[in-house]
Amino acid sequence: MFLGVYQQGDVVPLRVQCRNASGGVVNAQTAPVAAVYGPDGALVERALMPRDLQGVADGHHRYALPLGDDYATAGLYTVLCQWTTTIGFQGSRLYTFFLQEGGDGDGAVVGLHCYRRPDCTYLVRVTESGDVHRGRNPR
Amino acid sequence: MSGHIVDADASFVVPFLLTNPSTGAPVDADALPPFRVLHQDQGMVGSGTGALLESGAVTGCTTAAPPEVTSTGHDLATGAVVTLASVGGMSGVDGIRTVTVTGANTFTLNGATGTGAYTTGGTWHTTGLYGLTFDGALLAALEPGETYTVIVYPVVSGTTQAYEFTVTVK
Repeated sequence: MFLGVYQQGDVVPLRVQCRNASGGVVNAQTAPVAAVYGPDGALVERALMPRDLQGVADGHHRYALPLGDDYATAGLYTVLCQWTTTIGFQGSRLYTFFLQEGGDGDGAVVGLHCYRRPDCTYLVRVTESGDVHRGRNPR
Repeated sequence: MSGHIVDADASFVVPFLLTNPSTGAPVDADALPPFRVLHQDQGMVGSGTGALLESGAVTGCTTAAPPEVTSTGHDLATGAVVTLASVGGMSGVDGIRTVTVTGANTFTLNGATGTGAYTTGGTWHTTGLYGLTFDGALLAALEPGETYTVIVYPVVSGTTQAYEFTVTVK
């Protein structure tokens, strides 16, 4: 399943509904594992998908995958979600998303202010990650 | 039929997950699956063979219940489903297993009981997950803005199957 096009700094919403061999919705034995592979097929990271407490049925898990500094290469990324039920059935779902150029691992700028000084001008910005950056006006 | 968006500026890997059509459980093909890439007007523009997307070498295995496997720098996580093969000297270890990670270089096999004494060899790979690499002549054949159909032909228990999906070049 193709999840869409994202940029570095975005968050990819991953959802999985664990099912058994007959297609019934079940709870997994442990939290499902989401393995992310880059455009070259190399593993980027593995993450556990916590229970979706807002879900209306059992077996729902979700994870907001932040596209941080590990996602510097544009291209097609693969996400493999795996789970095992209490009776030992092993299920999996495959997702992909496309990371296009642009963006920043810190996320988008959510606050910006210009400080004027006699000698130079500074731009102070806050990103979604919570970091505060100072930039100097290039003029 | 599902589809992916790709960037043909550099070589890339498109994933293929092989599952049991009845249960949805991941399964392995008898051999690495071949694939063909087709265009609506040009016909077949290339072909190739899939590769295991993630694998590792086994360098040790205990007879504890569950058995503990040594694989240097495995990068697995508890709950990952892998296939073990050709673990020398042991029985009850090979097959599709869910792992519990016990260290950076070790993991145990849930529900398994290994017997015998490890001798040598063995591999693991993520069950049913293959990577289809687009490079060389196949990559050069892709044109921006075009959509291609990829057909994968895995052989499972002696029976050839066919799965198709599309890739659209950005």
